[in-house]
Amino acid sequence: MNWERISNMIGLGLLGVCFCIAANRVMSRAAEQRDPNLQILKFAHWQLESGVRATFDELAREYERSHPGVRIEQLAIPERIFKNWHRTQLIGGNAPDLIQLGQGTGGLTDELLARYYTPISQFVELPNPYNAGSGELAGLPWRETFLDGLSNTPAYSDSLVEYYGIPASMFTVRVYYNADLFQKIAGASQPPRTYEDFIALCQKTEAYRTAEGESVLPIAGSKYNAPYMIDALFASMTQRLTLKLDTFHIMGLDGNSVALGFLDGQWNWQTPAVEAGLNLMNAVGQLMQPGFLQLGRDDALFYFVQGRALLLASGSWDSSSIEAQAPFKIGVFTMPLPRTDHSQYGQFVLGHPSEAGTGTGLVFGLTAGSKNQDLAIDFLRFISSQPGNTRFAEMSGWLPAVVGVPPNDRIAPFMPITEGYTAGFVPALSGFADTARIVSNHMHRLVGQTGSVAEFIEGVQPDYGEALASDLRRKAKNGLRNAESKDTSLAANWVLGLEDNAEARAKFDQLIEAQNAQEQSAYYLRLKLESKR
Amino acid sequence: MAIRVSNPKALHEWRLYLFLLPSFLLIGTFSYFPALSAIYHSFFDWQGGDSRKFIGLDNFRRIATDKVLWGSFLTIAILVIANIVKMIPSIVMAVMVHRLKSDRWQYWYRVLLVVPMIVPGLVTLFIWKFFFDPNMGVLNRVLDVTGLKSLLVALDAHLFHWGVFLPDVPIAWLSQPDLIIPALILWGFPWIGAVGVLIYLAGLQSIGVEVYEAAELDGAGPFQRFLHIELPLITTQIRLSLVLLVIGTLQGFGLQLLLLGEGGGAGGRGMVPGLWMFNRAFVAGEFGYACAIGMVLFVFILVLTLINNKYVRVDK
Amino acid sequence: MLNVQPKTDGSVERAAGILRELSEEADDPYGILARYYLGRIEQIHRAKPDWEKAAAIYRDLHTAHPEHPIAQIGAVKYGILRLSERVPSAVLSSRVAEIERLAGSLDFPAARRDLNLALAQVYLTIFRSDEKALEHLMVAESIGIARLKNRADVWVRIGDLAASLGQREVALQYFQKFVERFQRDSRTYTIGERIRELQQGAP
Repeated sequence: MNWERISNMIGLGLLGVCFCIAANRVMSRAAEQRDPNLQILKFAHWQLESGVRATFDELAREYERSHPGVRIEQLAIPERIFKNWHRTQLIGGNAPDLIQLGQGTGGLTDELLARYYTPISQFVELPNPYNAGSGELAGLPWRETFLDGLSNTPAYSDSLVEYYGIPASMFTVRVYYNADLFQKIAGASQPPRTYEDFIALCQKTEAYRTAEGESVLPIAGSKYNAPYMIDALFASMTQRLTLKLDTFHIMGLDGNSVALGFLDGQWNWQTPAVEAGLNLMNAVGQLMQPGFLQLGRDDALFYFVQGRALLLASGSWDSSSIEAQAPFKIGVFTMPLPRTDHSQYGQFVLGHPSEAGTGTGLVFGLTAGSKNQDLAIDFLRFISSQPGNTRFAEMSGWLPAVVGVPPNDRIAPFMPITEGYTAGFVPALSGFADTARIVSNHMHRLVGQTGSVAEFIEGVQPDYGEALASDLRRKAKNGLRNAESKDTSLAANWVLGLEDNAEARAKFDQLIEAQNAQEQSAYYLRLKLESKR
Repeated sequence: MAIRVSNPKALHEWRLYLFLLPSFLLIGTFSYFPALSAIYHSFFDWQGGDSRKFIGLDNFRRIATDKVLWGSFLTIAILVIANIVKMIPSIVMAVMVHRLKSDRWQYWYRVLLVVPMIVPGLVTLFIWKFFFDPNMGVLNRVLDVTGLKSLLVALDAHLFHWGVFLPDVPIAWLSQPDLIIPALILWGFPWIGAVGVLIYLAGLQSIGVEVYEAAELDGAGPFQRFLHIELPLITTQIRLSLVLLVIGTLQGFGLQLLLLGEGGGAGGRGMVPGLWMFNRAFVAGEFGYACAIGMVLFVFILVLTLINNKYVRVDK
Repeated sequence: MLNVQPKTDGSVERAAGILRELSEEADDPYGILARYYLGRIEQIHRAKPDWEKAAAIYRDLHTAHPEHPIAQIGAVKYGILRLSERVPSAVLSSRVAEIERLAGSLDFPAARRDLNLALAQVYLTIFRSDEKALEHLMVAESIGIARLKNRADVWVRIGDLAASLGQREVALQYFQKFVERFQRDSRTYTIGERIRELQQGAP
C-alpha cells in the first residue's frame, strides 16, 4: 500500500469520524427536543459586550436549578446581522421563545409586533411572584416595578395599546477618558465640566502629542461613536428652535414637525442655530482621527483601549468591555455642552438635556410561535424581579431596570440625569431613513479633515428636502397601514360588548383614539406634502 | 452536438430519473421558489410580514424615477469593467502555473491557491477593511514607506488637482467619495482568484502536447504561444468566468455593505443596485419595492448574459 | 375577509359585497356595523381610496342613526376626512363650523373626544387659533384621554396654550397634573420651571 493510498484512507476516515460526531450531535439534539420531560427555552439578543452573556448564563443556570426539567439556552447574535436574522427567523417560523427588541431589530412595525409577538398586557398587570420578598414591590403590578413604569417602546406599543416586552437594563451615553493619560496631559483630577474646558483639554492633548511625539488623539471617533458627541452638540444648538417649531405645543421634540418646519421654510441650513450646530460638529469632528467616518465601533474602541486617544463617547453598554480591555484607569463624564452664558452659542441653548425620559432597554419580547409561553413569562419574571435584576446589575456591570436595584459603583455615573431640558433635533432625524442616509452621505464634507460647514451645506442642501418628504410620505403610508389594521381588533372588541365588558370597553376606547389620531396625522402629512408640490 | 434519442428509449429505464428528483427538489426549493416569490411580491406593497396589498405595477413605476437606483447602475458598470480587467492576473497566473515544468511544483502552486479559499469570505472582507484604515492600515503604511504617498500628493497638487491626497493627512480610502470606487477596485489586489485560476488551469491542461510541439517548430515564442494557442483554447473557460463575474458583480453588495455601510458611504458613491435593494428592504422596510428592484436587476443580468453568449464566441 | 392575505381588489370587493348584503338585510346593530365598515373600505382598505364615497356613507349612517355609537364613530371619520381635504380656506372654515356642530351633537364619549381632538389639531396647524384649539382640547380632556402618552401630550398642550393665552390657573392646573403623574418624562423639569414662573406671576 503506497503513501498516497494511506493518506487517502486517513482522510476518508477523518471525514467519516467527523460525520458520525455531527450526526450524533444532531440526533441527540433532536431526541432532547422530543423529550417530554425536558422543556428548552431559547432566548436571543445582540449584546455581545463583555459580561452580559456570562451574566445571562449564570441567571439561566440558577433558574434551571430551581426548575428541574427546564433548560435555558442563550443565542447571542451579532448586532450587524440581527435585523435580517430577526426577520427571517420570524417569517420562517423558527424564532426562539424570547427575542431582544429594540435598535438591533430595526423598526418594529405594528404588523410585525401584532403578527409575530404575544402581547403580555394581562401579565404585566399582575404582581411578579419573584418579588414576593422584595418589600415595596411585593404587591405591585409587574409593570410598575420598572423604573420607567414600562411606558416606553419597545416594551409598550402606544399604537397597538399592548405591552410586548420586559426590560433588564437602561442605557445612557457618557464620555470615557483614559484617566492615566488625562493626569499626564491635564495635570488635573477633575474631568471637564464646561464646553470650554472640554475644548481646552482637547487642545492640550494636541499640544502633548506635538511636544512628546506620542501618537495620541483627543477623541477616538467612528461612524458609530462620533454621533454621540457631535449630535449632542448640534442638538444643544437647536433646543430653542425645536420649541419654535412645536406646532402641536407638546414642548418636546416631534420629528414630523421639524421636517415639516424645514419644508415650510421655518428653518434651513442658514438658520443661525443650525449653522452654530454645524460649526460645533465641524470643530469637534476635527479632533477625531482622520477618516474616522469609515471606521466602526470596534475600531474606535480599539484606538481607545490601546491608549491612542484620550476620550471616547459611548454608552453604558460598553462600560464592562472597556474596563476589561483597557490597561489603564478609566474615568467617565457627561458630555459638556455650551451653556446659556456662552458668548457665541448661549443664545441657542436651553440647558443640559434631561435624561428623565430614558426608557428601559434590553427588552425581551415573547414570540407568538413559542411553545413555552408560560415558561417564558416565568423566566422573564425571574430575571426582572428585584433579586434577579440585582444579580444582573452586579454581575454584568450594566444599569438596572427595576425599582430599588442599586447600580454598581462603576456604572453609577451612567444613571440618568433627570434634571434638564428638552433636547433639540439633529439633521438625521430619528426614524427618517432617507434623511439619515443623505446626511450620512455628506458628513465627510463637515467633519473630514478638509471639511467645512459651507461645503457640507452645499452637498446636503439639494437632496435634504426631498429626503424629508420621502420619509414623511412613508410615515403617512405606514400610519394608514397601522390604522387600517386596527379595524379587526375594534370590531372584535365591539362584538364582545362594551356595555358589559370593562376590559373590552377600555381597549376599544384606546384603539379608536389611536386609530383616529393615526389617520388624522397621516392625512395631515399628505396634505402638507401635496401643498409643497 | 446533442444526439436525438427516441422517447421509448429515453423512458426505458425511467426509474433512473428518480435519482434526479432530490436535486430538482433542492434547486426548486432554494433557487426557484425564492425567485418566483420575489416576482410575486414585486407587485405588492409589502413590509416583509404577512400582510400585503396588491398594487399592480406601482413599484415598477417608482423604479423609473428612482435616481439612487439608476445612479447605482453607473457605479456597477464601472465595477463590472474593472472586474473584467481584474480577470487578467488570474489568466496570467494560470498560464504560468501551467507552464511549470515540474509537476510537483504545479501541485504545490495549486494547493497554495486553494488554501486561502478556506478562509471565510467575511474574514477576508474584515482584513481588507483593516487594510484601508487611514491611521493603522497596511495600505497607507505601504504608501508612506515606499514614498508613493508623496508621489500621489505631488500629482494631486500639481497635475490633477483631485484634492484627495494631502500632505500630512492619512488617506481616507473609504470616507472620501472620490476614493471609494478606486478602493473598491483595489480590493482583492493582486486579483488572483483561486476559482478562476483553477478553471483556466483545467482548460489549459486539456491542450495537447502536440500543439505546443507544433508551435515550437513554427518558432512561436512564449507570448505568441499564449496569444495564439492558450488564450483561444481557454475561451470557453473565460466566457464562463465572465458570465459568473458579471452576475456576481451585479448581484453582490456584501463588500459595499461591510466597507461602507447601508447608505453606500461618503457621497453615496459605493451604492450598487444590490445594496439599494437591501437598503430598501431592511432599512426602509419596503420589501415589495426591493423585490421589484431585484426584478430589474434580473432583467439586466439576463440581457448581459445573452449579450455575452452571443458576442463572446468560442471558435473550436 | 379584510384580513385575508394577500389583500387584493378582489378580496376587498368580496368583503364589501358581504357587508352590503348585511346592511341591506337589516337595520339592526349588525346592519349599522356593516354600513360603517363599508365606509372604512372606501376610506382606507381599497388600494385607491374613495373619500367622497366614504364620507357619504358615514354621513348617511349618522343621519339615520344619530344615537348609535358606531354611527357616531363614523361621524368622527367623516369629520376627519372633511377636515383633511385640500380646499380653499373659506371652504375649510365652513367645514370646520359644520364639524363643530356635529361634535356638539355626539354623546358617545370616545367619538366626542376624538372629534374635538381633530378640531383642535386643525385650529393649531391650519388656523393657528390657540384659543379655539384650547377650547376643543378642554372638552376632549374632560371626557378622558385614553392613552397614557396622548394624555401627557394633551395636558402639556393645554398648559402651554393656556399659559400663552394668559389663563394662568388653567396652565398651572394642567402643568401640575403632568408633573405629578409623569415624573419620568424629559419635559418634567422644563415644566417644573414653567410652574415656578407661573407661580411667580410670569405669563
